[in-house]
Amino acid sequence: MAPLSLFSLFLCCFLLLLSPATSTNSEGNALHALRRRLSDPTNVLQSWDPTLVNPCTWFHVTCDSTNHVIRLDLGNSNVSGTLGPELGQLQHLQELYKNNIRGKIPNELGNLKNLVGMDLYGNSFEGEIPKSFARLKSLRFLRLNNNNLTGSIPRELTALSNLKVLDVSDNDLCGTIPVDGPFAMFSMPSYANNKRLNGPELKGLVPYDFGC
Amino acid sequence: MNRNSTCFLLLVALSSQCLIFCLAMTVKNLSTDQFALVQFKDNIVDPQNALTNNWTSSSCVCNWVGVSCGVIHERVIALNLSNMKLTGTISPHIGNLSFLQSLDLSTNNFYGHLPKELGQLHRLRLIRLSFNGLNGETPSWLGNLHRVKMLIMRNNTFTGTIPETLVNMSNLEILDLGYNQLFGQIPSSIFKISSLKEIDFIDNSISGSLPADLCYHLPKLEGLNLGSNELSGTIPPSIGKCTNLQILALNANNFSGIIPRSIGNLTQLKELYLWGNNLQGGLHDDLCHHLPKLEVLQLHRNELFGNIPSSIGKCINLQVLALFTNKFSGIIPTSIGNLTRLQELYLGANTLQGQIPSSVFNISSLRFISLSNNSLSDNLPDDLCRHGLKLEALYLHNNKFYGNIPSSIGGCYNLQFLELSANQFSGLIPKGLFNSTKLKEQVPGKHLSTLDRQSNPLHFFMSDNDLMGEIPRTICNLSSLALIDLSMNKLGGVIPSCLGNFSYLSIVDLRMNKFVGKMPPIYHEGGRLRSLNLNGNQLEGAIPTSFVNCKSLEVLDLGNNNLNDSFPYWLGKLPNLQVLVLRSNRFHGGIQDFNATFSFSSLRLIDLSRNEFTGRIPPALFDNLKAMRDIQENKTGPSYMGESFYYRYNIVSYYNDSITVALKGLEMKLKRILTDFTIIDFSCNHFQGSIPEAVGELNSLVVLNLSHNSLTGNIPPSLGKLAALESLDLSSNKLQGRIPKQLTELTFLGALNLSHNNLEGPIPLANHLDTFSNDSYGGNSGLCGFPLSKKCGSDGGSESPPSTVAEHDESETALFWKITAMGYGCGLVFGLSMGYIVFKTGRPRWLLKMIKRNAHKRTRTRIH
Repeated sequence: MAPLSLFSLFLCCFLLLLSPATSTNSEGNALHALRRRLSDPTNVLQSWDPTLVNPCTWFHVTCDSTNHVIRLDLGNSNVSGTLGPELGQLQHLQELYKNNIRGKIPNELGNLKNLVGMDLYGNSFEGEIPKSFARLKSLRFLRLNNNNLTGSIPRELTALSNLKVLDVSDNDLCGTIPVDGPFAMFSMPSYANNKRLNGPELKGLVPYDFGC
Repeated sequence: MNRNSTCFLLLVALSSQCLIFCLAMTVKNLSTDQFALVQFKDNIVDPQNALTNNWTSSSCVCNWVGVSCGVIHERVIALNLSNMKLTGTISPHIGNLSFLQSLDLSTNNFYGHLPKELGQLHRLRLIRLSFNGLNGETPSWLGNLHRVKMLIMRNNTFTGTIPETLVNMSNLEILDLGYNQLFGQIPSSIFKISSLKEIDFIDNSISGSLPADLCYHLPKLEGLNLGSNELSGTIPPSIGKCTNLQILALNANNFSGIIPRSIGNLTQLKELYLWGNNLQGGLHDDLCHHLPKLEVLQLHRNELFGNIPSSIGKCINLQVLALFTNKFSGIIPTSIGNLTRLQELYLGANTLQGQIPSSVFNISSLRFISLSNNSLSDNLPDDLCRHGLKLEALYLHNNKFYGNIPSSIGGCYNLQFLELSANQFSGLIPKGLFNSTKLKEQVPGKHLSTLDRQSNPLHFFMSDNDLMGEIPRTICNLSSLALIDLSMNKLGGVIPSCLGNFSYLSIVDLRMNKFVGKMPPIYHEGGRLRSLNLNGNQLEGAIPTSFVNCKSLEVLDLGNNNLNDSFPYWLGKLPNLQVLVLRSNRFHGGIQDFNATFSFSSLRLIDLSRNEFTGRIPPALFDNLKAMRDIQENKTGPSYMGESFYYRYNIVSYYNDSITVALKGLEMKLKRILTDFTIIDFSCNHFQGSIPEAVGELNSLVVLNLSHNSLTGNIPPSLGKLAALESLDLSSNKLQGRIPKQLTELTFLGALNLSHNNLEGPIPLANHLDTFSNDSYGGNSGLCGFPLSKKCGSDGGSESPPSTVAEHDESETALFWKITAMGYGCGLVFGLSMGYIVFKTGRPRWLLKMIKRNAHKRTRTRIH
C-alpha cells in the first residue's frame, strides 16, 4: 500500500526579493503555531523547538541558504488537525507534505508565491478549493485527491499557466470541468470519483457550477 | 502521662480495694480507647516494630508509645505517631478516642480515605496528617471540628475542592493543605475565618480568582501561600489590610494586572513571592518605603516594565532580589549598593542598559550576581572584587560589556561560576583569574587541595568575545576546573598540557581560536572529560593515543585544523563517544582497518569530510553503528546534548554542545545537538568501491553525505529503508545504474542530490520524489524523465510527469479529452463528433481502462 501522504507544496524560483520583510524567526513562529494545531501521536514534530534562532535545524524542515524555510516534509507522519493561516507566512516555502489533516484548506496558502507543488492528497480536507490558489503563479503540481472537498473547481485556476499535474479525484466536487489554460491537457483520471462533477464545460451553454 | 501513670502505680501500691475501684473506673473508659488503638494498630504495618513491641496489654495504654492521657478523665487525649514508617489505612475505630485533642500521624505511609468517624472527635485541636499518601476528597465533616486550631494535611494526595464547611472551624489558626491535588475555587468563606494566621494551599490545581475583600476579615494573618496553583485575576488591593502578613506567596499562578500599591503597607513583610505570573506595570517608587523587614523579593518571570526604582535601596534587609525575565529598562540604580545584606541579585533577561554601578561590588555579602541577557555595557569596574570576597557566581553573559576583564577579578577567590560569554571583552585573560589570593597567603607546605577554591568545581564561560593572547599558565593551579569555554575568541599559543591532568574537567571548548601546536595529551585515566571541542584552530600532528583513556568522552570535535593522522579507529573503544568530527584536516589512509571489536557503538554523528581518506567504506562500520538504529522519540520534548552545572539547589548553568555540519546542502550550525540527531558525512575524500548495502540498516539516520568521492557501483536499494533520512547526497561520484525505486519510500527526504554520477534510466517518480528539481539529478548523461528535460525512450518511462495516483499510461484518455476539448471551441457537435470518431476508430479501450481504474481507486479509498 502506497503511503497515503499528503500534502506537498513546492516552488521553483528562489525569488528572495519577493518578501524582504519575512524574517526567519517569524517563519519559526508560524511553524510553531502550526504545530500547536496539530496532533502528533508519533512525535515527529518533537524537535520543533521555538527557542532556537531559526527553524532550519528542526526535523522535516528545509531552509535555503538565507535561512528561509523552503520545504516541509511531513508525508506519512500521522499528524492530524487543521491547517491555519500561519502557513501563508512562509513566503519562501517550496514544499509541504503531510497527512490526516482535517478542516478547510486555508485561503492564506494562496500567498505562497514561490510554491511549485501543492500536495494535499490523502487527507480529510473539506470545504472548497480556495480561489486564492490562482495566485500561485509558480505552481506546477496541484494534487488534492482523496479528500472530502466540495464545490466547483474554481475557474480562476485556469490562469495557472505553469500547472503540469492536476489531481482532484476522489472528492465530492461538483459543476463542470474547466478546459482553458493548463486544463486543456489534464485527463479524466484527474477528476475521477467526483459523483457530481460533470464533463468538460460547454462554454456559453452550461454554467460552470451546474449541478452544484 | 507521667502523672497519670504515677496515679496508677500509687493505686496499685496502696490498696487492692482502691485498685479494684480505680480499675473499675478507668478500665472501662480506657479500655474503649485501648480497643480502638489495638484496632488502629491491626490496620497498619509497623516495620520498625515501634508499636508492636510496645502497644501490648502488659502495659497501661497511657504508657504506650505516642499515647498521652488526660489527667481528669484518664482518657487518651493525644496520639502522636509521626515519623514511624507506619503503613496502612486509618481505622474508623479511631473515632472512639472520644477525648482526643491532638492527632499527629505525619510523615508515615498512611493511605486511603480519612474515616468519617474522625468527625466525631469534637475535642480535637490539632490534626496533623502531613506527608502521607492519604487520598479521597477533603472531607466536609472537618467543619464540625470547631475547636481545631491546626489542620495540617500537606503532602498527601487529597483531591476535590476545599469544602465550604471549613468556615465553621472558627478557632482555626493554621490551615495547611499544600502539595495535594485539590482543584476548584477557594470558598470565599475561608477568608472569613478571622482566627487564621496561616493559609497554605501551595502546589494544588486551585483555580478562580481571589475575592476583593480577601483581607477584610483576616487581621491575624501572617502567612498566605497560594503558590503553584492555577489562580487568575488580579491581586486584590485589600491585601494591604492583612497588616500582620510576613510571608506572601502568590507565585507560579496566572495572576494578571498590576502589583497593588497597598503591598507597600505590609510593614511586617519578610518574604514576597509573586514570580511566575503575568503581572504587568511597574514597581511603585514607594514600594520599599515601609518594608524595612523585607528579606526576599522575588518578582521574576512576569511582564513588569519601567525602571527599577532607586528607592529599592530602602529595603535595607533584602537578602534576595530577583527581578529577572521581565521587561525592566533603564539603568541599575546605584542605590542597590545600600542593600548591605544582599546575597543574591538576579536582574537577568531584562532590557537594562548602562554600566554596573560599582556600588554593587561594594556589597560584601553578595554571593550571586546575575545580570545576563541585558544590554549592559561599558567596562567592568576596576575594583571588581575588592570587596566582593564572597562572590561565588558572576553571570554577565550576553550583554555589551567591553574592555579588559579587570585583573582585580582575581580577588574573588570564591568564584565558582564566571559567565562572560557573548560580550565584547578584549585584551588578555588576567592571570589573576585563575589564581587566588588564598593561594598567595598559603602557608608553605600546606596542601593545595585544602584551599577553598580548590575544593569547589570551577566553571569559566568566556566564549564569543575578543580575548587574545595565550591561556595564562596559572590555569594549571586550578585542579578542580570543571568547565572551560573560551570558544570564539582570538586566543593563540599552545593549549596548556596541564588540562589533560585535571580529573574533574568535563568540558573543554576552545573552538574557533588560533591555537597552534599539538593537542594536549590526556594523562588522567578515568577522568570526566565529556566534551572536547577544538574545531577551527591550527593544531597539527596526531590525536594523542592517550585519549583512549577518556571513557566519558561524548563529543570530540577536531574539525578544521591541520591534524595529520590515520583514522583513529581506536576511538571506537570509547563507550560513550557520540559525536566525532574530523572534518577538514589531513587525515589519510583507509578506514577499512576498522576492527569490529572497536565498536563506535554510541556514535551518532560522524563527520570525516574534507580529508584524504582512501579505500573502501567497510560494511562492518555500519554494522556497528548501533546508536543510529531504532532511536525512540523522546516523548517529553526535545533533549539536547550538554551538561548542567549546579550552583546550589536551584541555579543551573547549561553548557550546550554545538557543532557545525553540512545539512541539506548547507553548512549549518547546530547550536544545540538533538540527542536523536544522526549524521554520516564522508564527503570530499577519496573513498572507492561501492556503497555498502549495510547502510540501509541505519533506520534512524537523518543525514547521509557520501558526495565527492570515487564511489562506484549501483545505489543500494537498501537506502529505501532509511526511514528517518532527510538529506541524501551521493553527488559527484561514479555511481551507475538506475536510481532504485525504493528511494521513493523516503517520505521525509527534504534534500536529494544524485547529480554528477553515471546514473541512467528514468527517474522514479512517486510520492514526493518528483518535487526535487533538476539540480538533484543533473550531470548524469543517462538519466531521463521529469524533472530533466531529456525525455525517456519508449521503453523508459512516462514522458510527462505522472499523476501521483495513476501509474498507467494515460496517453489515450488524454488524447481523447484533448481532442474533445479542441472541439468545444467549435461547438458541441463538432467536439462530440471528434470524440466519437476517436472513440470509434480504434481507441475504445480508454473507457474500459477508466472504469477499471476508478473501481481500483474506490477500493483504495476504503482502505484509507
